[in-house]
Amino acid sequence: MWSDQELVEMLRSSVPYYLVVALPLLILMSPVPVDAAAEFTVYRLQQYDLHGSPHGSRSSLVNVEARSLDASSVARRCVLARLADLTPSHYQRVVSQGAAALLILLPVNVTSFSVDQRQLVHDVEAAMLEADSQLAVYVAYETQELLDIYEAVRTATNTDAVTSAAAAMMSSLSTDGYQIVVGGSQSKLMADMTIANVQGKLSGYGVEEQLPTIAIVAHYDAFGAAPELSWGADSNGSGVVVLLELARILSRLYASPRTHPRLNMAFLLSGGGYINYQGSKRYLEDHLDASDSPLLSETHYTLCLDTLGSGDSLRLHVSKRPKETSPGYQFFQALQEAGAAVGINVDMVHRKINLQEDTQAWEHEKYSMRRLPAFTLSRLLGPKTGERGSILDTSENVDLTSLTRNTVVVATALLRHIYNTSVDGIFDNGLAVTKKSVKSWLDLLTSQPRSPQLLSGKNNPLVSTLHQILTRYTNEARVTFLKADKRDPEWAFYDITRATMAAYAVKPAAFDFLLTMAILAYLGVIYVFLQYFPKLYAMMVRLASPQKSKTH
Amino acid sequence: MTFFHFGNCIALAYGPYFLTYKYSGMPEYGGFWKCAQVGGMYMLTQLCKMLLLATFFPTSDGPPETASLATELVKTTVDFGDVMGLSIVMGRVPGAGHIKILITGLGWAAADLLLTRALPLWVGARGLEFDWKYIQISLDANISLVHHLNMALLVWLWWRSDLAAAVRPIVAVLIAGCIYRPLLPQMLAILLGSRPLGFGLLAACATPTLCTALIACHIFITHSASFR
Repeated sequence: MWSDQELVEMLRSSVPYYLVVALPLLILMSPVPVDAAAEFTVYRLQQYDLHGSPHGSRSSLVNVEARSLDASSVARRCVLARLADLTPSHYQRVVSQGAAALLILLPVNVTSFSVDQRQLVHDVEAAMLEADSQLAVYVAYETQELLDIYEAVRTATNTDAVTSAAAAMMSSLSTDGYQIVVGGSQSKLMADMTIANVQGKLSGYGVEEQLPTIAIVAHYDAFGAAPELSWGADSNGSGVVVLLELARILSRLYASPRTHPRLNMAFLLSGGGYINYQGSKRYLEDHLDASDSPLLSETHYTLCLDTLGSGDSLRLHVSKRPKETSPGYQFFQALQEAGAAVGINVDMVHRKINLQEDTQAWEHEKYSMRRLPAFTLSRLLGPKTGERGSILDTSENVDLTSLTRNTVVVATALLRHIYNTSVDGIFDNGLAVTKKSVKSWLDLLTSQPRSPQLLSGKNNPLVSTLHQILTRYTNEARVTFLKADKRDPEWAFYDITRATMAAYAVKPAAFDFLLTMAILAYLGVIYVFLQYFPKLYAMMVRLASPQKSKTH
Repeated sequence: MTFFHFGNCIALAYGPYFLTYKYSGMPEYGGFWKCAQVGGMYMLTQLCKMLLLATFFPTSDGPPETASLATELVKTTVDFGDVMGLSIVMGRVPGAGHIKILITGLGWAAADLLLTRALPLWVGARGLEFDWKYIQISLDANISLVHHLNMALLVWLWWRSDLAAAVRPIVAVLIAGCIYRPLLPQMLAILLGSRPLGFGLLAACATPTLCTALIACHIFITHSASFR
């Protein structure tokens, strides 16, 4: 039998060696626990390639410390900034200093922004999407939790400027730093991404091939700094709303033999409107280059609808002024008359197509380049105001009254041109454009973000719904899918549009050293206490029983 | 935070235990093995206590804060099992009075530390997130060392047949006080209107423990002085 002593000796001699093996194994094998101070959903900046040039943020992974915008150095840090504070020059500085990430805090209520602030946001968005950058850019809604972190980071940043190391250490005791982490995998190219075109037509009275055609086009996709925040209510939800209303009204008129016009109508809800109108490009290729489809060969004009959701004036953007006898000019006159009736000014804005540029500014330019008479109707003065494709373009951004009125103007002008007569009495018995129907279309379109990569796939619910609507109102409604060329893709999108970001409260390394010092001092005090315990004990004995210690 | 931070917490929690073992003369008595045995007894006692609790006090569904003070009081009474366990251990550990107390108290406290605090530290203090909680757990371990030594001393005193009759009730009250110590935060919550948190709670726990320790020491000294 072993005695106790032997067992103890054996334990003593062997346990340290076991520990040497076991401890590192334990450390390696047990995962570092993850319970963050805060976790929140963040929306990543667009990442896409267009005509071979990359745009947006190239990275999706973050594991760095947080700094605020006014920090002296943000290299290899995650910059936290509120959207209202951010300017394009800030963004350039963040990029040039080599920050690892940028988190933009978006107010929940973006309608509170003033006109100047909105313009600034548009400028920032344009700056971020203009070229590519290596930093991961995320947008998050401001929550109280996130604002607290932001404030803590700001105060911590201000202490960076403290001169002495001791002062910095002391301040580290009271303030928290934050480590920002977004895990998962790096963003990848979305293979087999599709863009859908939804099209339908109404055939005129007579032999279809011999009748002229009016094409109405609106791109239904949206854009913005973050795909998941691209609600696109005004641009181009409003255009789609007008198109759907026109389809609804015309379907009724085409169904009745009394009002069946000698004119074909073609409707196109094109996809990829923000990536150089890929949908329209494909549509033109299908209908002009393939000879079996004569729909577009004899068109009066193509009317593109883009951003009609507010304002008191409309502009007809053209690349080439239509001749005074042309149907296009007649439609313009009809528009002016219809506009004047409800107090809206309709102008014609002429802008030549810049053939030097890779991308076309307006959708109608795609048609004009193929020598089809075309124009875009919009409330905007020009294509590059930044209002098209912004994360601020939420459904609150659309004025329903204006949109309804604009729809009435377009519908009136179109019918006046088609029937070549005054159509004042036509908008009754179910044909009237009502706020209710406009709102229901708009609600449908803004029920989800509509950035192209989110609408990919054969069974996308929104595309299916649009297809069903056009099936109800038009003949031969169908969806065509287009893909980028495999070898030389004109466009490409990347995945990871949203992620979960975690913020961990951390202390700087200096704090750990400070803590070690304090603990060592504490243990030293205990050591001294234990060393002097016999003396202390003797003293206590004397204090407790002075009379007894005297007797012995 | 980092592994370094975990090291800090461990040093703070275990350092005093090690120093107490090393510099109180225990190694000379082969105290390590005795301490381990005491630790084994601690586990057995806890098991019995848990069986008792599970049998008679099924867990309530609500969060722990909602449990009434009376229920908690009855539940804590089961901790008298600790006193019994300590008494049994005390009878089996050979040695002079103060060594007996030290070995029992330290073994008991070390087992408590290993079983209740090592895991939270291992899981929490290595995480990315910094929290003062882990420093507080480590400091609380130090208070609990004093507490357990205290308990051992009081239990030892209680079983002395030659203890002066006048101090016996005091010892009994102190033992009861030590046992109902876990109720302190709730009592304070009732008295102050709000539950103290963090370092405030630590201070609130440390003060009565240290006071009890001083009184117990005084009784021990007077008791042993009467035999010189």
